[in-house]
Amino acid sequence: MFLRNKVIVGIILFLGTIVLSINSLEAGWWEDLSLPVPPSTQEVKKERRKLAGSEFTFIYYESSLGASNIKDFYRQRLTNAGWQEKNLLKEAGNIPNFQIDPNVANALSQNLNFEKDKERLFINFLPENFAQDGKTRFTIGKGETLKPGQAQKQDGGFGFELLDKPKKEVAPVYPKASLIDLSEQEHSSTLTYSTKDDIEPVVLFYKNNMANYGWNLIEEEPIEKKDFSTDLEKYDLAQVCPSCAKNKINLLKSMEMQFARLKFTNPGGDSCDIVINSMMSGEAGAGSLRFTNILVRYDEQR
Amino acid sequence: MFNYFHKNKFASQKGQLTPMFIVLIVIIVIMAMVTVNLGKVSLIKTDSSNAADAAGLSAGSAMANSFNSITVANSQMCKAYWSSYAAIAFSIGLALDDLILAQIKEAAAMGACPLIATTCAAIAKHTTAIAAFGDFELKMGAIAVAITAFYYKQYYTYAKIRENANLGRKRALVAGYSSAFSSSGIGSKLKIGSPPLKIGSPPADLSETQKHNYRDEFSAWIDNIAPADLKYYNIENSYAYRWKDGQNRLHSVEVKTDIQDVDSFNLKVSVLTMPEVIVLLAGIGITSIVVSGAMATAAGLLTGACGCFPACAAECAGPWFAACYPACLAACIEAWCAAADVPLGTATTGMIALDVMVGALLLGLLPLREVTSNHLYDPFPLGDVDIYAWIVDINHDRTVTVNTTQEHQGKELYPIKGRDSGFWQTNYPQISSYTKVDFRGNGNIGNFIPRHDASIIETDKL
Repeated sequence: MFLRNKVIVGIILFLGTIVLSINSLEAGWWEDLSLPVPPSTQEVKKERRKLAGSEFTFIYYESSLGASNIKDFYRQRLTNAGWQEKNLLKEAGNIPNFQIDPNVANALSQNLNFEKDKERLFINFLPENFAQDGKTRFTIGKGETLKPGQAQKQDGGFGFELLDKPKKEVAPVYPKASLIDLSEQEHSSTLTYSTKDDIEPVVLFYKNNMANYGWNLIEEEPIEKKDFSTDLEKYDLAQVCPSCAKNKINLLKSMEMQFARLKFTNPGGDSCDIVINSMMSGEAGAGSLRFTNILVRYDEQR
Repeated sequence: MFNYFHKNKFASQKGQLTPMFIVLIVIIVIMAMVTVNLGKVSLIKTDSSNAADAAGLSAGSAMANSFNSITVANSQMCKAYWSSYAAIAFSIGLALDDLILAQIKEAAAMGACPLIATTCAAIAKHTTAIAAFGDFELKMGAIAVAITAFYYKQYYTYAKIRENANLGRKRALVAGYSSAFSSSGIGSKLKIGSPPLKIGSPPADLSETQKHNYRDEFSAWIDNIAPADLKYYNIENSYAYRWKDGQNRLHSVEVKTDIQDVDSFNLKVSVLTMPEVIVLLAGIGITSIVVSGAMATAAGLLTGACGCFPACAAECAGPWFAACYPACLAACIEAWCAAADVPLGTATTGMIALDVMVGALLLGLLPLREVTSNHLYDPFPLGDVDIYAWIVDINHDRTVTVNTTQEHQGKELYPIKGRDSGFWQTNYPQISSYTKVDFRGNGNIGNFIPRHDASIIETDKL
């Protein structure tokens, strides 16, 4: 009888120790063994993107720890998990006749790069103490990298597509436009799309199709051009592009930006602004910049 | 009267105390009138103070709410910056990977070309360099789109925050005025209902101030201080409600509320301005065209160098092959590789320039600068050049000051015919009150803490 009680007490103590041990482990460890989370660190958001043909997951964290502690944590844990640190600065050092600018080296050293098989893991830090709340903000991007040349074959859009979809569709989406950014709050949202089309058909599309979603146009800022030649005269373009021939530099001056804004409201008092901007480098072809961004801002009436 | 009593003081023993009583009664009457007047004045002072306190707290709370909303929106703006920066930095990291790979392979191709043993292998290295550089160009195109979208989104979010901050101030002013007039005791002094109407005709022939003597008019007047859509409406510096009561006495209550404009913001912005980013992006685009062109030319020349093997084999076929072939090969490869060195050199130089420009872009998007924005440029967003990260602070004293003044015409006692004033005027003095409210609380715009709270910090002495 006495022995039985001893055994029971022993089992209870043993189980208690196990429970306490499990509890003391970081939650992140048992959630996803491949991606550890340092202590005092909270996930803020998660998103999936398609970057140049490859799919990547981005997880945003806020931490009370300093950036160096977080870097040490990941160096140790990821190396133990079979990841190899990739040092871009070291690789750049192998390039003949190339000396990296110290500021650029500093910017690059803010990030951590790891590789495992075909997978790539990138940890980017917002510089410390920038926001006054003293928190360290970092992002982990993880995905599979492609062999050289494959990205061009697999990417049909802009190479910067957001794969998450908005919870609420408030406005029509311009055909073939890629969603590149999304912020959703309780009573408002901001979505950004990109298309290779010019600004005119985009403006026309929204003017014609917003009514299908119950919106009435109340204000319109028509398409306006911004010529950059005056702004660019301030810069020594030959210094920006030392390998450019003079005629190529002149191409810079032919860059043009266009803007338009449409303001809509619905009978419920909600508002929806469509801000459209396009950038054209003057001539179509490889290396040129030609795209139109569409920003959809929705505000619910409160 | 005193003489009469004095002369007759020995005639009768009665009425000795009468003069004393008369004097006392007069004093008591005067004292009573003074007391009533003082009571009335203190009531007016109480009403005036209540109005100032109510307005200050009401406007202060509205401002605190507005600043709390700005803090929350600012936190979203910071998150949006962070999210876009991280994705762009990640893409730049991947693009730099491609560029560095292209450079390493290109350097290897350059080194391999003049050596007979590795001439053809140089083509494979160069092909990998071309493929990696193509990936780099693709990613840089994506980055250009992302940065432009990022700039607009941050600008637009900031513009919205400014717009709402301005609206918040106007709402606070309206809330302050409404509370001040509602708490100023006007309602209790007015007649119940609306001004009398003649059936089938316009309102009775009452002046504006006479119409104001009715509570319904007063309520409607408060409601109409500002329209619901305040965006394009300017709130006045002060408002006054004046009315004439049934005895045609004029009463006036005036309120002045001061809240600093919310139009000076300190912002964290990226190192580079948008035009500078555009110059860099365009520089990267144009250099990439130059590099791609040079790489394509080099590819043809390297193929030519590799073609030396079959060409020399054909040329030296015969008995002199052993002596001819190596000499032919050396001369042929040297010629082709020397020719290839020029575009390979151009590509290498171009790629080194690209390293610098891409690195500068990565560095340039960091939020390392702080600017003060005192106004938004118009028209949207052609003039604003900074890429906004988040709001560090709003330059504002975080106070609401309210001054209220009440003036009430008293009753004309014993009016004298043909004269404006009566025998005894009972006009009350102008009564003013003052309240200062602080709405700082523990909130902080740049610290993302939405705990702004309003409290009275100063009032005038009673």
